[in-house]
Amino acid sequence: MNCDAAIDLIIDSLMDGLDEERSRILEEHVRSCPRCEGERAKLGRMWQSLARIPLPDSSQAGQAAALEFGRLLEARTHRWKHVALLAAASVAFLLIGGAAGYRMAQPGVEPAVPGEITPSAEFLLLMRGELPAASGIPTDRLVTEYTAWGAGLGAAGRLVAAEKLRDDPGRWLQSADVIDGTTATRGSDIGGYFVIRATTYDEAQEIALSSPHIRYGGTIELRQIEQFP
Amino acid sequence: MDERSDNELMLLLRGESREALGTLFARHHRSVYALCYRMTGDTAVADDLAQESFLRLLRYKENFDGRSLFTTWLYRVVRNLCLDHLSRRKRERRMQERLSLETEDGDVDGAPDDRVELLERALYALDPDKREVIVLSRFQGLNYREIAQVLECSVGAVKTRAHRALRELRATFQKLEQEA
Repeated sequence: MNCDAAIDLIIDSLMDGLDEERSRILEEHVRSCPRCEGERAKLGRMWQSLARIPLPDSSQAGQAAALEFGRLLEARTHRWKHVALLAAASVAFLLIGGAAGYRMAQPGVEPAVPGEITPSAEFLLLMRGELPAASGIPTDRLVTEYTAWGAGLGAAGRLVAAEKLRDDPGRWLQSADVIDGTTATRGSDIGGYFVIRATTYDEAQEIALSSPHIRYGGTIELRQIEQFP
Repeated sequence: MDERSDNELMLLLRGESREALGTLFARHHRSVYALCYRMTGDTAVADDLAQESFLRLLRYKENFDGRSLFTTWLYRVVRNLCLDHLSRRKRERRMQERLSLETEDGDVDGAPDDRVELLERALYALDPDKREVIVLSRFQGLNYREIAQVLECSVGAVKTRAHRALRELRATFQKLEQEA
């Protein structure tokens, strides 16, 4: 085997691994060729160093990326809906006249179903309490799980906002009195919040129950956000 | 964590499940972003391309037949987007050159202070078709067979590209080291 072929094998060994036979051939060559031995060491070091090239954080890590994606998706979906609606309207216009086409081109208003909340209903999830089932689980892993859950909601177009609250006692304000959270008779146990979109209270509850917070034994206070006309 | 496999989620997605899309997004956004960054070297561009990748995933979901690994298929989508972006950028640069609007690259005169930084410069100096083989192997952990699936070419073609790419990277890196 010549040196050129040996270098190819060295590259294969780094990028794909070698079977026994090719590994043996390479070893044999390298033993008798100091130049290729040196080259193998250099390529190996370079291959190791490649892994150390930093990956700058995305400006939209985790939930921020998912929120952005949810917004993009919605914008595109609406655009397509609009195009479809216009197409439907123009077909209807041709088939059955202007009046019908005009009606179809109006933004669709769904008839109200008794007991059903409009699809744009928003719910606040207050993540409360301790997480007894999370003891011993590294914080990193917990953060990843909450982020992944939020990201899933975001990409599904369900997430409106989400923040982790700082682990400090906070302040309680009433009239002109400001009470430090540490001395308040009722300390806050809210660790963070999510605002989500759902069709009904039951659906919002189903989403809330799928969160890692519930799995780890925390409590979620679920409230529908009032929407004023 | 959702225990369903990527392939199962893709099936649900074909049935228009937005939740399945959400889970796939949560699961793969970071590695898609990483691939976009390694290909373009620009965080803002990588952010945009990563978002666009998932929109394409949704648009082309019917093309996923489940025979290859989901990530292989996804990386193919991402890779095509990155190459489109890079060739657009190249065209724009050429046009700027013609109009003599090009300004000096900010990082050209910045003295490299360590080997990794030099290596990064050498990596981004490679043509995208050489860089992608290294990126898919080193950063995304794909073997030749998987890379061939992403690039839609033979394993032999991947090998040839890998050999050329790593040799060129080594030569450029060495040159930069000597200059430093």
